[in-house]
Amino acid sequence: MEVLRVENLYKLFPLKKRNLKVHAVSGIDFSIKSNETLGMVGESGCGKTTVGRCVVRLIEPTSGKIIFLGEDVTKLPEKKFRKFRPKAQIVFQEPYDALNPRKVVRQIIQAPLISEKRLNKKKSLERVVEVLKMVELTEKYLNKYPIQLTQGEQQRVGIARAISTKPKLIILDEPTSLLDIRFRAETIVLLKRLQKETGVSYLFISHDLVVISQLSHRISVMYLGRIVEEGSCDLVFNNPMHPYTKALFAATLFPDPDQKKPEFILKGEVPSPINLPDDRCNLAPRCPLAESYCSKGLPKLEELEPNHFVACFKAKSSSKKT
Amino acid sequence: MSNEILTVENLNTYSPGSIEGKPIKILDKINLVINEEDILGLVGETGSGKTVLINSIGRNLRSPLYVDAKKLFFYKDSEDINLMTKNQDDMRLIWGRGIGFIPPNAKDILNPILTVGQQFANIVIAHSKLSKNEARDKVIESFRDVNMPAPERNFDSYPHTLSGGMAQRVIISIALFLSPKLLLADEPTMGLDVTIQKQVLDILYKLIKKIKSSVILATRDMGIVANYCSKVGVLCNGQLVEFSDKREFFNNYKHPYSKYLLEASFSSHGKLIERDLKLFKSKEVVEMKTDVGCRFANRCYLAKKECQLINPPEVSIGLNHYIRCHRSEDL
Repeated sequence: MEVLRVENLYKLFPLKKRNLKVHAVSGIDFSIKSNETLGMVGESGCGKTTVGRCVVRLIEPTSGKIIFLGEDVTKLPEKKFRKFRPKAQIVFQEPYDALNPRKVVRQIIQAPLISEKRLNKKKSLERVVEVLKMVELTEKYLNKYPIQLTQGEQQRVGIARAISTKPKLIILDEPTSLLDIRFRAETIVLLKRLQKETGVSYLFISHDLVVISQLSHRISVMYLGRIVEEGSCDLVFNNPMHPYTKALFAATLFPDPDQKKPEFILKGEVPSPINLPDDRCNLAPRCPLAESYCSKGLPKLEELEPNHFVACFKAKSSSKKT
Repeated sequence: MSNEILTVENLNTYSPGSIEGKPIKILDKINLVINEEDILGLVGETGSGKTVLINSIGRNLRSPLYVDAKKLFFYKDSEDINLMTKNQDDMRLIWGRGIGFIPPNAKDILNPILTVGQQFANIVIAHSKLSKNEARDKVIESFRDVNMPAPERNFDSYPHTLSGGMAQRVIISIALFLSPKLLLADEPTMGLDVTIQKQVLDILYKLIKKIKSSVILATRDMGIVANYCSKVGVLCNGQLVEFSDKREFFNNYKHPYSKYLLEASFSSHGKLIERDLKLFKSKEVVEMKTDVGCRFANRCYLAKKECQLINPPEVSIGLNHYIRCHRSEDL
């Protein structure tokens, strides 16, 4: 069953001066099935976080459709959208900043239960203890303030709050990038187990390919507001086709001294996303394979092998030859 | 041996805050040897003492921490320098040409009210007899070596206008300008994106090979160690628990803490672990004692009573491969 389908999503942020706009997300499509993890990778500034926040409508998309559990929720008024809120939750990047420092763990996890699920104090407390157990914390933690917890425990409270309302979809916005290695691994193991137990779907946003590979069933690679490659985890890892994905893999350092190092380096740094042209490949100026036609048209995502979509003219022409 | 660069024997670092009247030992009996052109990767979690060790070796510790060592020898131009006997004024002659630093967070280290070119030129002038204009040319030349985009224009940029990758390039070119024999790099690529991290590390690697210096590189990223280092040292709460050549380490790591670290970075015998992660279930965490015993004992799956009570001995388990563990026979 499809939990989420996003069609042609745009998000432009206007700048105060001169009618300029930041093109954070420029027309992306993807879908997530139930019990599935879609990993979204890309460098900082490519719009991954904006996508995640648009999906739960923390920010309103400029245009496009978000179909959640079979219903188009993009234009729903807030009152009607509220019934969807407990079904789509989000876990934030900074474990400490995402928790109210003046409330104890019990109040933090109770808040969505009381406001969204309309549970009374006693029932909600039972549920709090239950979810704390699910994230391997005990009742001892009920009356602790976030500052008394370690990083890993803070992140687990964040996850507990997200799962407390029994959501169908959780947006994981770089939940591990600020954690130390030990907590990072613990969090990944925990998330995997929770998915097995509850059948929840994840949209996992990260820049770390090693972490993404551990958790995701499918991967989509973003560059400057567009998805440039999408496919099942194994296909994308074993046969990256888009030049940007290749560069990303070449740059990722795996903990393996015998790693093959394909030299594939893009020129320069990521350009500014202000007033990006909407009709051509954004990677063309940096791409070592670019031809003259690359900067003239916008490549569409096309299925170049089963379950593997790539948006690149060069990849398309070379896959046809072979 | 003639090609040794640094010998550290029995180095301890203390903090005067006390437990039962005794100062707290932050680093415990560190022994290591660095040869010419070695790149030692120091790995460990946050708080395992990587930065303190680097600053102890460079004699750059901030008070109130203090260090004592049986041996802390630095060899430069076939001259033995006992770093322990040097005071801050003597060290200033060694820092720069002898020992160079690359700190983390390049942007915080650069002076925010001077242009990056100007602060670099000041260093150039202090160490040579060049005029201002000659120093400017030298700086721009060094910027070119680290692939700084538009070096002439960026000479007059202020640090806050640079991206993280560019600021890191400035720091690297400053640290390598005097061709130090030993470079102490503390998480040189923290907070950079993967593609920029690779660019920066490649340049750093190329330049240190050119000037033939040795490096101690503190990092949390096993990927960096596997790809750039020649030796590995694993730090656990201030004890150097495993020390070995890189290849030997990744093929034959032994210490429980090394296993734990590698599994936490999703690697086993150098290969990525596929989807079935079996992290060590840590036991109920007991308060760590800093005066006696193995500092991993409270989380180790092999720990016995003696591990808590007696300092673990250093055991050689192969050519240039040492671990500190009571249970080395059972590993």
